[in-house]
Amino acid sequence: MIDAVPDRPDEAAWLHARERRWLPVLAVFAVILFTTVGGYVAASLLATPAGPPVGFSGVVSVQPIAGWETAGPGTTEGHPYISLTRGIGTLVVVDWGPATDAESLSVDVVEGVLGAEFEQLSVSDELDTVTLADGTNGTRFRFVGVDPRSGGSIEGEVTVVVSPSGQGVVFIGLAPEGQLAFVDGDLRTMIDRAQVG
Amino acid sequence: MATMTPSVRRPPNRSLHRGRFFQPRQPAFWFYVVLVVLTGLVSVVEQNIYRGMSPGGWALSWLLLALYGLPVLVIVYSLDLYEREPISLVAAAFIWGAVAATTLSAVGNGGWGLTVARLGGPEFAARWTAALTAPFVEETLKGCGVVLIYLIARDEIDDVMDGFVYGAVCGLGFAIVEDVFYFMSVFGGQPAGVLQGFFLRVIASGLYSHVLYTGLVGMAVGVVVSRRATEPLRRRLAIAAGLCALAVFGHFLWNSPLLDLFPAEPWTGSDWLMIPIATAVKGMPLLVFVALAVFLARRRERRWLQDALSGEVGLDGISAAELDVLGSPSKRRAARRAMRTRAGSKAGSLLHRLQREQVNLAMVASRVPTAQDPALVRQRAYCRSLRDALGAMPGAASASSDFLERGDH
Repeated sequence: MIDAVPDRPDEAAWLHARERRWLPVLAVFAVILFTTVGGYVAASLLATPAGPPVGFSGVVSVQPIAGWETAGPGTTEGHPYISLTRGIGTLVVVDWGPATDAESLSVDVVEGVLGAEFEQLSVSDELDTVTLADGTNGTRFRFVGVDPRSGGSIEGEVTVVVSPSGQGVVFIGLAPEGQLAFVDGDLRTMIDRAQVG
Repeated sequence: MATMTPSVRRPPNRSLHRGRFFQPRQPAFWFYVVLVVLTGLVSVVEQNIYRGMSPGGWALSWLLLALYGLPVLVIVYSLDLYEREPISLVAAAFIWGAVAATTLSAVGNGGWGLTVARLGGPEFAARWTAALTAPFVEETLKGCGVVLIYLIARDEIDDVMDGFVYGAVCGLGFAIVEDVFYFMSVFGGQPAGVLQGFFLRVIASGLYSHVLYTGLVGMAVGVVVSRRATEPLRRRLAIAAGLCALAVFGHFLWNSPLLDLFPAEPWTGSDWLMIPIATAVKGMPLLVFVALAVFLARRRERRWLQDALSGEVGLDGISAAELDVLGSPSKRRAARRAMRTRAGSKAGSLLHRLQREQVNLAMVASRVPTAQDPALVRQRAYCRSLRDALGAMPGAASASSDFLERGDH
């Protein structure tokens, strides 16, 4: 309607301002882009290395990211491991020894380690396929169980890979049930960047 | 009888309002369409997964949410006293909230949640992620939908109430799809879990959710785009920033562990009574504020109508008695009811049309530079022709005069 009205010198300037059509759309696009992917960019910038890499020589090397600390070595069901922690989150890296493939190693992990460490164990039905940054392929699944020492319910995510030389490596991410979501970003970042073999 | 009815021809006022969603010349239209189609594919896949998990629970979720959503939609839509928004644009706002904003928010919340966890550690993240991510991410993305509606049909958001309607409807779409997600994923998806989720998220909390937050964001958009003639940009931006900040703060408080009076699970007996109290403590202040803001916006609309038509009283378009009726939604409804009773439903519909065109007369009068502007003259003549047509219908003239003369209605 504004175009149909004759110009008057006392009219407000905005009445006859040329309608910008592209600029506002580009601005909305920029806001949506920042809101949806900006968090991932910021998080990746915050995932800076902290301290020296940990692991087992010639088998696996994991670089802790900011906030994560080495919690010391140990063994589980005869397999040596090293762990990293940040608050409620824990990453256990197990040097499994010789293994044939990730799928059968996943079954061994459930029966040999998780079954021995947790009660009322419940494992996800699906086995996801993963590829680490160094190209190593593996499998990933989730579980829930009760820690018999604390009585607390634990939620975890297991990533199993086998190096080209046939060494099995098991990454077990742990947190109290319902809180794994708040550490799995860090866990996956460290696991995906691990050097296997 | 038809030959007795004076001819009624609508004046060409297409330039007054774009009034529809389909605007292929607007880049904003295509941007909206592309984003809704892309995110819609994700939504369809998601809903299929839920349906596969529990067909009965999924159907029950949608049924219950329709029972909640439809009345809310009607109430929000009816809040705009004089100029009901075009259905296609209202539907577009709803779809943006339900499809694009929910899908994009899931992505955005994930990324910013990761950032919160990296900065504060997992314990902090477990307590505060929902409060520190969703209010900013979700209000921004829903607000972008309202901005896109404005960019598609700029003339349609010409008041703060218009912004509220589009924002609240966008928030309603978001709330419904988010509730389906919660019913199926968090409450287990089985009918018993869905009913528990419905009690918690709709019966106990439905008054305080996204409808309020995005309604405020929509008001902010309305302030910025509709008060250019009366408020300087700095003041408009300051008001809009305040409204957006309040929306984000309300959402933050809702998601935060602050003022958390929720009973510990498992809930038994009196716990179920405590839940609505716990939600009211967090949500009621914002509900009261929004109700007050809507009341003020409606009063402002009423004032605008009186001002815009005061110079028209006694001319062809509207009489003093008609203006008195037009200014009150309840009187308008009563007049139509009386007309239907005395002269039939066609006469009632015609009176409805006359009232709508008298509101349009106010809009034309407020936008044209002179009282002799051809657009205004045409609109006056159109109103008069409608009144003449109404007067020619048997019983309508007496019904109209009786109603207008009675005064107290």
